[in-house]
Amino acid sequence: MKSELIMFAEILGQLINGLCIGMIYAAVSIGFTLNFGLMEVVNCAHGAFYMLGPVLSIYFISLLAGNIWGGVICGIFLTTLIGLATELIIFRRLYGKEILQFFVMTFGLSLIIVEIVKIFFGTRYYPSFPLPGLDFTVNLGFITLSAIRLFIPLVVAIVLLLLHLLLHKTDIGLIIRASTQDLQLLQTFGINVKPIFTFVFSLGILLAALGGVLHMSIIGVYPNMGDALLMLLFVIVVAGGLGSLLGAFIMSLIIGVSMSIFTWLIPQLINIVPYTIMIVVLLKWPRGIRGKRSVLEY
Amino acid sequence: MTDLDKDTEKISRRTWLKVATGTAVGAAVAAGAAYYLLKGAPTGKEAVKIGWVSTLGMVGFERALGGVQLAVNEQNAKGGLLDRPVIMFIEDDEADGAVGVRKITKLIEENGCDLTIGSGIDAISLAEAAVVRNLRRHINIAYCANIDIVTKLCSYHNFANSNSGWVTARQLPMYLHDEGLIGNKFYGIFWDGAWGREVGACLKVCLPDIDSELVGESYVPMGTTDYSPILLSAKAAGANVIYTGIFSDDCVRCAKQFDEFGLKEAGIDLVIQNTEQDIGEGIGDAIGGTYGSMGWYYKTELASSQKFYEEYVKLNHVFPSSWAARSYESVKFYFEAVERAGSLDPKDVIPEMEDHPVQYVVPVDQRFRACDHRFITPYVIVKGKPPAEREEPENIYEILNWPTNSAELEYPCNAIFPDKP
Repeated sequence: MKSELIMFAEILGQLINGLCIGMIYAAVSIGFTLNFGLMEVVNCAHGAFYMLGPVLSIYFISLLAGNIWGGVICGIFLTTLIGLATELIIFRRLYGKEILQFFVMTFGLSLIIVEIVKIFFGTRYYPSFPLPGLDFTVNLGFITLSAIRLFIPLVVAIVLLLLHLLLHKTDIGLIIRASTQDLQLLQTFGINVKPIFTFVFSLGILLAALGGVLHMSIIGVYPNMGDALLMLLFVIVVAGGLGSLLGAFIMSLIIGVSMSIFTWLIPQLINIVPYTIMIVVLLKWPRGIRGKRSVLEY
Repeated sequence: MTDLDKDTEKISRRTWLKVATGTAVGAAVAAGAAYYLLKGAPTGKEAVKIGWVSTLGMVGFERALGGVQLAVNEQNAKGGLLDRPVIMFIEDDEADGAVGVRKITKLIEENGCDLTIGSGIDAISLAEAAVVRNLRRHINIAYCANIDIVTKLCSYHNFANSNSGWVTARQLPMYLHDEGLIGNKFYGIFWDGAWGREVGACLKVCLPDIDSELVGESYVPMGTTDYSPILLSAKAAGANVIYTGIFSDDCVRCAKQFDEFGLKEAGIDLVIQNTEQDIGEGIGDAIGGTYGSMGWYYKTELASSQKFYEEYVKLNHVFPSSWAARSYESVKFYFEAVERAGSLDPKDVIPEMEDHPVQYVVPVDQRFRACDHRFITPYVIVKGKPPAEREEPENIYEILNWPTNSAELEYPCNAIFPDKP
């Protein structure tokens, strides 16, 4: 009985841990999917913004004399502003161009962001640090849980709920969803879609920065952290179904939990797990698990 | 003009000429600048060239580079080496074997380095060692603690300034067990690379001798970010000691997550086989109560050691790590060998580097043994101090033991030097 309880506690611990990582992926991949769903653009710089959020947070934390929450909020806000400026200056000129053109441009932008960060912040790894008030463990008797790993899924769940309400309960959400259905028709009604694009793009960047900051709180920050994530993002959005928010969410959790389980059982395989899952999913569902006729659907 | 016209617009001959001329002028200027930089500024006499190649972004290497710079500065202050100035070339291998090979080839062939030093990651060190073996032109000192670098894949021109894999995996757990500081149920977390495999194998051999058992082990890829699944598994397996054979950023992440899950409070000890000053600083307060070993620690009475750490701090504005000390020693060791040989030719210098005992910053005789060019040196066993127990912020470790008997550190030597002249 005792060994069964230990086994149950261990599996539960791995699931919660996987859920935590999966929710970070969910925040970032849903931001990525938002951009793809509306503008039909593959933003290869998404990983760079994921890294920029925590890097700027660290800068602001030091600027604000160790005020972690203040620094984190400023970091996310400035990253979103930089994303917004990027959309206005660069991305806006690329809409409607060939996907390869966008792909190459955003890939170049990603490299530029990473190199600038290396110049100003160095190439070093910044260790994780607990968010204030969350550096404790929750002891349930048969299992000890880390508070930060319970906080992360909760925060992401709230943010995604707010996003859901924005898309489905507000006028702007209606316009965003309509844009994904028939953009030209919307324009014939006299609706200026450019501010919508800017808004959605910035929203995507905000989610990327949030994901990066949550990653920072348990794993730390390093300039190339976005590169590895970008490959994972492709896996998540392709296997989830291009443009499907729910697909991206489900795949994020599957990948997060699988990686946790494999790190536990066979860590050597951890780097091939996401790709194996993607291949299996695409063999069964060639358009991904939630591949739909149009984008931004559940 | 429509968008379509813009997209299909032809480029005029004038534009082509402008672009071609601009490119040619730019390339000529860049080539000139590159030549100047690569060859170094004119110095009168041809300089002795020291090349550094390592992963500069990883915890550990940047401070190690600081040790080389200090040794070079001191040598230049004495008038140089063989009356020549000593200059440095610094390269980053970006944690990539292919880049490492390219960079060390550049350092040897383009820059004409007499000594290269720095590589520490197994796969990169081994790839670079192959270049050194093939070129047979200079001397290379690697940090890589993997036995293969000086044995199966060895080169007469390669030296390894570390022996931690073999030595520490016995010395550290035996000492901690004998002193009753840790339990006897070990869970091992090792890098899934040659060094990590070596540490794992050594630990398995050692544990029965101290009435301990390995209740589980995980071999993880370098750069693993989330250790929590393994830590949870170790706890569930009933381990009371988590023994890590990982290094650098990985160590920091693992220790931080160990602390995050409150495993110390749950009665589990964390033993970091290769801990460091900068690793400890990265881990922060959670270093308190952990055990580990390192090549050097600044709290020693040895005057040369004190001088080294003061000069290092003055130059680099950070505290030296044991890798910094090892870099410093290695380069000084090379300089003295060159002076004894009176030449920079490896065939004259290498014999002077073999089996020549020295004491620089470690209070024990150390040497590169002739049979496999491995550095024979003891490791300091330390315990991390919680913040409240630190007399000064940087003094994060308490020395538990500093072995002085080098004979205990010997182990079989089975090297073959295929490139020995």
